[in-house]
Amino acid sequence: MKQKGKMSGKKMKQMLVTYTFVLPDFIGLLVFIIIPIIYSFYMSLYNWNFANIKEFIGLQNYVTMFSDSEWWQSLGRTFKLTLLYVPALFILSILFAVLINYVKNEKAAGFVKTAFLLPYSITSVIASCLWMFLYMDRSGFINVFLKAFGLKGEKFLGSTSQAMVCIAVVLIWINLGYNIILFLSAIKDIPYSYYEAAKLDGANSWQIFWKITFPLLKPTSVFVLITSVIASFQCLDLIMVMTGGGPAKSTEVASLYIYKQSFEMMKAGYGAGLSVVMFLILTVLAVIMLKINGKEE
Amino acid sequence: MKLKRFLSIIMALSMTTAVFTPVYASEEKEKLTLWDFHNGSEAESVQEMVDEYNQSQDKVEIEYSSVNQTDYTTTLVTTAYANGECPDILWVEPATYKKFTEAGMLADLSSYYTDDLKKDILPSYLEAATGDDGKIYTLPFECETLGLFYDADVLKEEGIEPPTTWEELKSAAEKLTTDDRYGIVLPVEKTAYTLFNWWPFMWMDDADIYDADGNVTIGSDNMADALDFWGSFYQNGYCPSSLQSGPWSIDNIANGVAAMQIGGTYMINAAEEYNKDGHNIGVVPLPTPEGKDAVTVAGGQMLGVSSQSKDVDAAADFIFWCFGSDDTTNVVKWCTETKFAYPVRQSIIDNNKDLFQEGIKATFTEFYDTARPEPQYSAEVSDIMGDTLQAVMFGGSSGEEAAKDAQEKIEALK
Repeated sequence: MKQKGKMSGKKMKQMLVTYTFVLPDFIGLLVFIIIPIIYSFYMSLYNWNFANIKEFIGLQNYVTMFSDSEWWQSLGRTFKLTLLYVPALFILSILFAVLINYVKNEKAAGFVKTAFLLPYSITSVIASCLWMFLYMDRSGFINVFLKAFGLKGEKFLGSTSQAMVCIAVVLIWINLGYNIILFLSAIKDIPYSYYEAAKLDGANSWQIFWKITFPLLKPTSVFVLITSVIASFQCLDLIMVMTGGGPAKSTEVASLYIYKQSFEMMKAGYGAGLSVVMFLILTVLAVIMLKINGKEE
Repeated sequence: MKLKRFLSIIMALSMTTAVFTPVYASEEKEKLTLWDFHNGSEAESVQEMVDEYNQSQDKVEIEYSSVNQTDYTTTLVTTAYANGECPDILWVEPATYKKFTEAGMLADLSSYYTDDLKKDILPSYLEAATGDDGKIYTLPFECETLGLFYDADVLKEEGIEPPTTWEELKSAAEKLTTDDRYGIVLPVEKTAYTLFNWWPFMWMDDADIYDADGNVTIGSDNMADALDFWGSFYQNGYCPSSLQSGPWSIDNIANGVAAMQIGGTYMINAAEEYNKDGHNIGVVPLPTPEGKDAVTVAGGQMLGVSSQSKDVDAAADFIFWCFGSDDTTNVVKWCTETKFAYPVRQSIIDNNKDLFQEGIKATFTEFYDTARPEPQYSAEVSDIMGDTLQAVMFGGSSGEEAAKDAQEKIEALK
């Protein structure tokens, strides 16, 4: 008879195997995510220029942040990018996932999925360079195409009103395929009997999508929303390559502002403080989305 | 038994290695690192100098690495310094000089300068290498100035003479702008290179960020006029708002992107190569406001030693061997073959006058003495000036609005 509270040898072995498999990922999380976050908070308590100045100033960096109008403007631009990117990505991902799900020919479906997923496989720097050529204001392919139809050429990356939209388009182009696959996998998991029953009840395509498919995609939807919001906040390499934050700061988002404060102004402590604030904003947004999802369930 | 034999073999091998290790260690040279951001012929030239130096002595081995320029001037060097891994030898630009010296990242090189060398270097360049504390932190070796490059065939076709004044430049840019071509290429991004192109236009109109007494004068009427002039090219569509080739590349003229381009001596070699292929690229001094004197800017990189270097003497020995010794072979080769730039040592200029009288170089040499050294402002002031330019280029601001805004921001830094 086994004693209460003592794990059997087999169970212990199972637990050991489980934790061994999880351990590499956990170590990676600890080294590359958790420790840097804690160290960033530590750095934010100092006035540090990477070199000869490192003095403890407590929460002074956070006090400075409140009166830093350029920081708040960069945060506003980040939200603008989020509003341009997230809804469009969400709607297009679901739409294409639903459409691809209707394709019965497996080879054709496979080809379409691969085509959408290809941009996800190239680095964001290469994607940026590619789109910079497309966006060139006279010789770029898009303007050549527009002029061929008698339309006026646009400035795109050279326009303060268009540059952020151009960045959002590239972000969507890169990430659309990955999110389509996520939604497609979730759609495939929906029991076909639900659709059969709905059709028997006389539901049309839109009603089937709205009443059956969309509600059952909620967990995937929340995941896509959270990850795409995070991606929009973290967008830095694309902007650095394509616009450098210009023209006239119209694409200088919070991540770029933090980069400039840290490395161009050599205010490592202040940059770390701003990073902590951005981390907190994203955490709050993620918790809100998870709570909304939890309530509705 | 097997284990005993295995252990015996291991011990024997260890003892053998231990016998040879001292011999091997005594033959090892001290390793020093050099980082820069060059590519192409410039990187090859640096590698040749490194190889030659390494072969010329048996105490030190320089290891050379070239990285991306933007990374070099922003993240790489500063984070390496923070980690105690800064390269021993650094390439320093006027745009990063103040940042590195204020952070104490550069070693004092004053004691490595001979009196003759100090007298030989042009005073303004020696001053640019000297910190506010009077110590010399870098070794300057080149001077790059700016002029106005133009496609002579296109200008001739349109019946336009190379402009000499601001009015002529604006008028020429307007006439030369067509559906297929811009009138002029100017830099578009908020970078140190854009500021480098802007400084002479500011000076030509007797404007500056500070006056001689250190008062902030960026909000002056003259500055507003200069900003309006600069911004007008972008606002009127005479120059592109984005560039495929960099603003430092003569490809913009050779490929027909624009008929004119502000550019530096570093573009001369490429321009002359294109001219050999049938192009007709010329250069004139930067146009000035009516009645004002010609001014251009003189930039150029410097070599420095990290204050973290484990052997500042050895690192300094290398950089002075390259560009600060009586043997001027490296300087002449760097300034005339690798790229084109003027040496900053009077003796080298005097002994090689013929080299600066060839082709396009001759035109640059004519206005060489109108050059003022590239200013060294703090990162905050440079950032504000960059924002001011962007505001008149793309933000729809007038020169007056942008200048006043910059005045308030720079005064708030005090």
